[in-house]
Amino acid sequence: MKGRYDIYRQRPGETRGSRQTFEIETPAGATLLEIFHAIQADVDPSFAYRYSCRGAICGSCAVRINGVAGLACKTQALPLAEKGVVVVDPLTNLPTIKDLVADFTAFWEAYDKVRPHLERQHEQHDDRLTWRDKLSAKHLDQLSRAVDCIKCAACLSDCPKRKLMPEYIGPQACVQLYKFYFDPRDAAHDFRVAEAAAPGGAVACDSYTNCVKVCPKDVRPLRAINFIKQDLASRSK
Amino acid sequence: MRIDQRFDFDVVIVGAGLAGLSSALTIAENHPQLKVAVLSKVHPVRSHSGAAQGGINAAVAADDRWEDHYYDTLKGGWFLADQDAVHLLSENAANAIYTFDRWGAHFDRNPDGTFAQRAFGGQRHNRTCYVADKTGHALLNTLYEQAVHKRVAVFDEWFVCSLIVDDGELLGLLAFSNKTGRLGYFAARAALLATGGAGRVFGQSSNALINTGDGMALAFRAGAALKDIEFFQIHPTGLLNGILITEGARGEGAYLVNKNGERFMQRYAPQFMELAPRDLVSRSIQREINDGRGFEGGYVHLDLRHLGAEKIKERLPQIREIAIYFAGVDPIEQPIPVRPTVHYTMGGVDVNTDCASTIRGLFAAGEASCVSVHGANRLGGNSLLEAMVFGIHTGHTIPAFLANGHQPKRSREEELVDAALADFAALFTGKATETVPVLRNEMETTMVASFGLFRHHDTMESGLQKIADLARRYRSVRVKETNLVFNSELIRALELGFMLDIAHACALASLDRRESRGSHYRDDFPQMDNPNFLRHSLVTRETDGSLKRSQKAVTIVDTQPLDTIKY
Ligand SMILES: Cc1cc2nc3c(=O)[nH]c(=O)nc-3n(C[C@H](O)[C@H](O)[C@H](O)COP(=O)(O)OP(=O)(O)OC[C@H]3O[C@@H](n4cnc5c(N)ncnc54)[C@H](O)[C@@H]3O)c2cc1C
Ligand code: FES
Repeated sequence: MKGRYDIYRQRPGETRGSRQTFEIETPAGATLLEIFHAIQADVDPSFAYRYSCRGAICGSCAVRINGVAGLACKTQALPLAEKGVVVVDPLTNLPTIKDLVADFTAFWEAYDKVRPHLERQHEQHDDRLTWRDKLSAKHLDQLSRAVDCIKCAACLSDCPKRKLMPEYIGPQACVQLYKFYFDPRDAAHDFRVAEAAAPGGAVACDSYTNCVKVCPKDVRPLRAINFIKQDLASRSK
Repeated sequence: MRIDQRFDFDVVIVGAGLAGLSSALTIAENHPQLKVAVLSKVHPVRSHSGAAQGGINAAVAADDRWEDHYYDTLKGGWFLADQDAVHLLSENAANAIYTFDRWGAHFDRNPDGTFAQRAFGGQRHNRTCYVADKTGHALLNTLYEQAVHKRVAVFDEWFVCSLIVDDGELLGLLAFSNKTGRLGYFAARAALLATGGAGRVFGQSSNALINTGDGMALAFRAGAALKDIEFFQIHPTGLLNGILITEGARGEGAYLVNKNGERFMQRYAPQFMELAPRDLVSRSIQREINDGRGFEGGYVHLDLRHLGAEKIKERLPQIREIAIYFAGVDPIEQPIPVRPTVHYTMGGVDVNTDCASTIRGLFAAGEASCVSVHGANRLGGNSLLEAMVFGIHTGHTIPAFLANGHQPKRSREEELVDAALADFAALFTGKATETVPVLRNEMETTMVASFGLFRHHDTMESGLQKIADLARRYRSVRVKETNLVFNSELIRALELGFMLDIAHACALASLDRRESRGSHYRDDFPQMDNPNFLRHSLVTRETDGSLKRSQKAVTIVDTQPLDTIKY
């Protein structure tokens, strides 16, 4: 069938755009990203959107699909088109550069702010890794989820708190903070605690749960945030 | 069109996958006085290295030896790999793993804390280290964390469109920013191409959409040779859009079935059936499709249904997810449409064991290069390793090259930059009589049909003519949109130009290799022929635009090549 797609368009340099309607042949099995390719190839070669892996592992292609952030490459188009018009917009809580391309500058600033790298106590590798024994099963599970994060910014886009409070570092940066917060190898623990407790840190989260719902990799940012909050609370006792 | 900004660096690294970032980080750690820039057409964490799942080989186990890894790699590559390069690869593998561990990578571990390792094809030991099924993703992100930490200057979403070379010496490169639309000239004393593979030359590929072989083509245009570019590894089971379905599915008992409902592997490998070696399974599937026993649209079925919902959910949850999200098929209820998919580019920029090309100051590493560690077929788990080991290696060889104060002669720089700019500007001027999607489509289908699993002189000859014709028609492509900000039209046009160069070189080298070896299988020459073809192929472009083919000896150090390969 021919699906109807209402897609946001904006010229570079402008701050406002509007939706344009495309009627695109939508075979079974096609992903929304493939619909974008069809538009770019057959209708308007200037249509801009990000892509790379087309396999839900690089985090390039997050957009808002009928109002909810998600990966275009991981979304089947036909079931959506059968229900009606498919509305596609760029991510929110970030400015738009062109069409569906969001400006990630603020996203990466929040990432950099939490210094997401292992600060080693020593400059050697671990021949035998035993630090994991110090972590409980629930932390090991959450840690593995944190590693899964593909930095697509779906969570930041749909976070109501970030909208209200732009200084809040947002769910993704909290996940990065979590990744090292409980790591027994890390030498920057005091910094991480301070960062979490700062006004725009993990404590700013108001548990809206959107981040958990929209995350395409099931990273569960809110769970990581709650682990941090619990730790902060136990310290102040 | 004019340059908005000139930059001056000691080293410019093109590519921010495992190879490019490893190099940058090694230089930052050991030679902080050198000014280094990393340019990448996508944000570093979006590089294709992140898509690798399986793992990375290294003889880190107490009962394994790097010498065994060395031999397995030589044999896996049908002895076409250079033995000095493979020596570097296997001997430094453990160190690369340790380096990444030090940087914070979460390698899976055994209960006693040692590195967990899984079995991969063609190796006599469980030698593949991993981070669950997300090895590339985890390593790439760890590397990026450290790069930010060590303040590596990253120019992300900058697209490199040409190299400036004078008299065989690198001066710099031209690039533009997708975000701002600014055009930059990056003057450099040395440059590293770490731009990854070229799988997208073929219409069926597991590679990211951005794997268009840019660096290989840039070097080729500047006068460097492409080595062994006829060798592309093909994986038996990809979805119709190329996404891989791992061997795990067949390992658990999935059937391959043609449109008549036959388990056709019966015909080709009755003993091993679906679990026969990769290239045999690939060829069998393609044979079915070619002979009209595939489904309309050219595919066969991978059927899991007989395994039952419970086993599928429990043992193959990832494969089920991939089928549901990317093909719209739930394998509990329906078979998955699959066909062979191009997976890895063994060939690349001809470099020596310092990763130096024949252009002074120009280096290449990772999948873009051919230092020759994979020969005619790479072993699974050796390519992430190559990117890491040779990335780190160039972090030492490039500073060594610069240590004597190397300064290229810049007397003709301005003139050459202007000429490159004029070429770039020409893309936007005049009337288009050809379009990118049409040419791209024809290239993709030609490459699959003529240089896919079965190669034969006649089909290759007509394929070559077709590619040459496409290259000619490409000159009539024009880009309408002149604003450089996220200019999809421009990027697609440039990438197609790069790919056509590689396709052309691949066609020539394939025709010349009148034997079958590794991924290069010829119906008309089914045997491996060491006396005549135990040699690297080289393709170069002359200043008049014509392509020249030559050969180069394989470096043999201590291991006599076998005359037949059997597993
Ligand atoms: C699905 C899949 C699974 C795989 N699994 C494994 C595995 O389990 N084990 C294994 O060992 N190997 C595996 N591989 C192969 C392996 O992932 C690659 O060979 C390896 O990651 C290549 O790394 P690289 O650093 O050379 O290039 P890449 O990671 O591809 O990086 C290339 C970089 O170059 C940049 N670039 C390219 N062109 C330009 C340009 N014009 N301007 C600016 N920048 C540019 C890109 O932005 C990118 O940053 C797999 C491959 C695929 C397709
Ligand atoms: S294209 Fe990589 S996540 Fe969608």
